[in-house]
Amino acid sequence: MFLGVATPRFILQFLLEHLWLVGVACGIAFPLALILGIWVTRPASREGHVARYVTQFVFLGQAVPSLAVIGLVMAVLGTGEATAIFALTIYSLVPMVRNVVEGLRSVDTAVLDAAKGIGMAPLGVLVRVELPLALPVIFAGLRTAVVITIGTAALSSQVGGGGLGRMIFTGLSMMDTGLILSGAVPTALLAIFADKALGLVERRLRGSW
Amino acid sequence: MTAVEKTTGEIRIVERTDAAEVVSEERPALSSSGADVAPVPGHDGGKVRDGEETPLIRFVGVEKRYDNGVVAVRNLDLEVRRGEILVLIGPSGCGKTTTLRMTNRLVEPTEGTILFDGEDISGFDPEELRRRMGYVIQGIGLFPHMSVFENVAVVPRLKGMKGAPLRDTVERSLALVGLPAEEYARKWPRELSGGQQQRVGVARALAGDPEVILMDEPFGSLDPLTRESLQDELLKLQQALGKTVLFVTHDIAEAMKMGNRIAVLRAGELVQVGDPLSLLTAPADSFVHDFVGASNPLSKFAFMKVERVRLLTQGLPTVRIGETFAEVRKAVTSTSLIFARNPFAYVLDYAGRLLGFVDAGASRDPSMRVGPFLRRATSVSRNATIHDALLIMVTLGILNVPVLGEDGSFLGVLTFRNLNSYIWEQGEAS
Repeated sequence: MFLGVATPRFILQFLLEHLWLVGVACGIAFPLALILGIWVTRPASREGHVARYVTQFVFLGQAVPSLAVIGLVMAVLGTGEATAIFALTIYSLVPMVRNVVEGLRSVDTAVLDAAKGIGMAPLGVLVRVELPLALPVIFAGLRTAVVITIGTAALSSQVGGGGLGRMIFTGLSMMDTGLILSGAVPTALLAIFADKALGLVERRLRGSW
Repeated sequence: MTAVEKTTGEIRIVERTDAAEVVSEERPALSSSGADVAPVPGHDGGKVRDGEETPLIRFVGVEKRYDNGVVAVRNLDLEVRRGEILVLIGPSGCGKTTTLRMTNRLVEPTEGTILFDGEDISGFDPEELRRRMGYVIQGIGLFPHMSVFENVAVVPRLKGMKGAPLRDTVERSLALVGLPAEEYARKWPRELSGGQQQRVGVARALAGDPEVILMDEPFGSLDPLTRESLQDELLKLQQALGKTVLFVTHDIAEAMKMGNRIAVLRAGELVQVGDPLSLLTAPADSFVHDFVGASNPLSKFAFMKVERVRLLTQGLPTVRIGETFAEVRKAVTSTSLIFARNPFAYVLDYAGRLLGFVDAGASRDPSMRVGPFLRRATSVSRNATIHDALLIMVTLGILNVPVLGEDGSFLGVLTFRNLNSYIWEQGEAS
């Protein structure tokens, strides 16, 4: 009966929708997280209060359930793809910023002192020393964020986001296990695959040190 | 067996390596009178001009007061002369590191001026200024994600160097710190020992051909043996290159060893500046007296050279390299030297340089030549300190140690008896 919905062609279409949601959300969130994380760790803003509030807000955000974030955004923006993308962006920002900040703060102070002391300019220190050294932590954040977003994107079908969640929720409401699985299994595989792929990218970027 | 053995050459080494570290080399810049250190003319890249009067770095009324009211440095007037190692020392919190960090503008003074080569550093671009000053810190701070080569190449690259000249510069810098590039250039910092890492740290500071090297407790995190050898090598390096060094430490032994002059700070204020011997013999106050350990009667001998002591030059048991054991017998029976154990004779070449010694009992055949029985002798340079000579004699249990000139010529023998009476006279005098 409804198993007809779960043909490979449909699965592929929903998968692509899903990927699109996740890709756009993380694609917006990651540069934003980098900028935010870099900004709050600069010595000039470290002394100010704004940076501290931003980090506290972001860290608190981790505690809010993903569905609540989606609900909140929907209350403001209504339903549709934009709502889904906006909510996913906000939610994936949290682990990303957190890890960018922690990664940058974990860089050995002696290394930073040396970099500055031998005459590297602030931008040079950031690009050539801090970011490469924080890369593993930053990437751990990115991987976590992507995996979480893949899961959360399934929920976003409830606010009109589309994606594999459509099959899962339709399947749930119709008690169609086959349909549920044809949405759930690709979602799970996508998460695992994305995590591994980013791991490979990280290793590439990191080099052999 | 006579304990007098081993080593010829410039630096006399004793059997145990740790003792060998202690045997200091000559330090021309150190003079007991505290006379000015001569500028080193025209070493490569530096802006040192012969006969130049202006100090390389000059602190004029420098003060650092933090927002919380803490005064780290108070009204500091100090000069760092060209080609010298100036040590900043004092208990923790005395402002020595702050002073160093103000020099390359990692910390900005709240008052006063710092002149670098006669120019106010506040007018410099901080990065440009830092590239003209090497920087070595206790935490080493190598870039863990860069190879040894890349670490050393950072400053030359910042100065716009690339290609073959860059490679040459890096290789030369690594060679200076005793790390051949072909073996070490491709390694990662984590593959090196702490001592090797700090060697790379020094190479990184040297690679930019800086006019001054700022060192903030550079050997503080190393084990004592490694620290000794890095100190010795830095001294050698500094003499070879004539670089000016501003060196922060809290270890008075290190200060005494490394410093041409030592500036003692306490609670942000400069208490005294002078050469090591003057701090010992004329401490400004009881703080300096206690801090430098002037109460230890032996410490001042670490700054007096062997050449101050009357050497035994007459009636020494010496033979020439081509001679036979008949001459050795004659020499040992007619000598005024007192042997600790078996009698022996020093063997000289025809230019009067010490080659070693032979035990008089090594051969019973008077016609036998001494050559095959030659053994290396422990000796000291005329520039060695009395402290070191004494240490060698006590450690090896010998009563005599030959003293050599810079060219290896045999000047005479430092005997325990003469040393003893010199020390006694010094005690009487003070």
